[in-house]
Amino acid sequence: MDIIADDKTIVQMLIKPDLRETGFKMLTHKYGQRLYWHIRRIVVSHNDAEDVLQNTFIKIFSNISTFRGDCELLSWIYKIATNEALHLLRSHTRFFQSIDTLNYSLSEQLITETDLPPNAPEVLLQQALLKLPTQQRIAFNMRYFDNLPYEQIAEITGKNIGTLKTNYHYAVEKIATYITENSAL
Amino acid sequence: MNSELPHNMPYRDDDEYVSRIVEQCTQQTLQKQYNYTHSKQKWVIAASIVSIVGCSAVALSILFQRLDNIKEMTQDSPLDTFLAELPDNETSMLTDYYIDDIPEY
Repeated sequence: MDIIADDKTIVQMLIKPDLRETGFKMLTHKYGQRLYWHIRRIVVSHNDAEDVLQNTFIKIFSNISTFRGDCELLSWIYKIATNEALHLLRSHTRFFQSIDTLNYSLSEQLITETDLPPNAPEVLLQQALLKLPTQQRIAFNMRYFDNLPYEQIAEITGKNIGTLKTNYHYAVEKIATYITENSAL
Repeated sequence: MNSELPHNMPYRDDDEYVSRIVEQCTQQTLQKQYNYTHSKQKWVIAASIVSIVGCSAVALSILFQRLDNIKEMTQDSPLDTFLAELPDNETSMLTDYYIDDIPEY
């Protein structure tokens, strides 16, 4: 599957019953890896990321007829993936507990899933990110790792562009402080 | 900041590995959808058969009911009841009268 079609063609293929399977393979070929990493950054664990990716694919496949094209296909599938990832995190919490309380266990999970030393820049960055509130962390990831424009992040998260910019600015400051404090250890 | 910090993730999973995971998830999704569609089709066929059989049974029972009613109506016609209640001799008289009274042309 080396053909990379444009989003409009993929959506049209997904709607037609005889081309659905090919269209779906094209979609996963085009966006699958990006989706995996987007999910993995939220849930941290590989096994959870795989489960969430699977659920995301099923939701995309089952609900493509409801995609009206009001936003970009990438925004739509990122929104589904984000919701599925948050749904999984919520399932790990107890009643009335915020998903932000999971950050400590996610941080421990990160250590078990990496071969790098704890003070490696990649690990420190992820640890710093896990100190942020979950919604802020997700928005930061989409801007920093996926290089998505604020307009698209706003479409995915349903947040105001101004709020996202402010959150990103504060997130950068917090991350810089954390890395400065911990890199020397 | 973007130039100072790494963009790669601290995991050992390389692109090829992730690509395999994505492919696996794609296949599983297609398989699940296939199974779901087929089981749905089976349910639709089963429900159709049950509906057809059910409707036929109801239609037949209504038909039989009507036939029974017609039979009962035929059996219990006022003339039959009247004749049945008459003593034998009167019945024969009446019958005879009717038969004799028919003019012959």
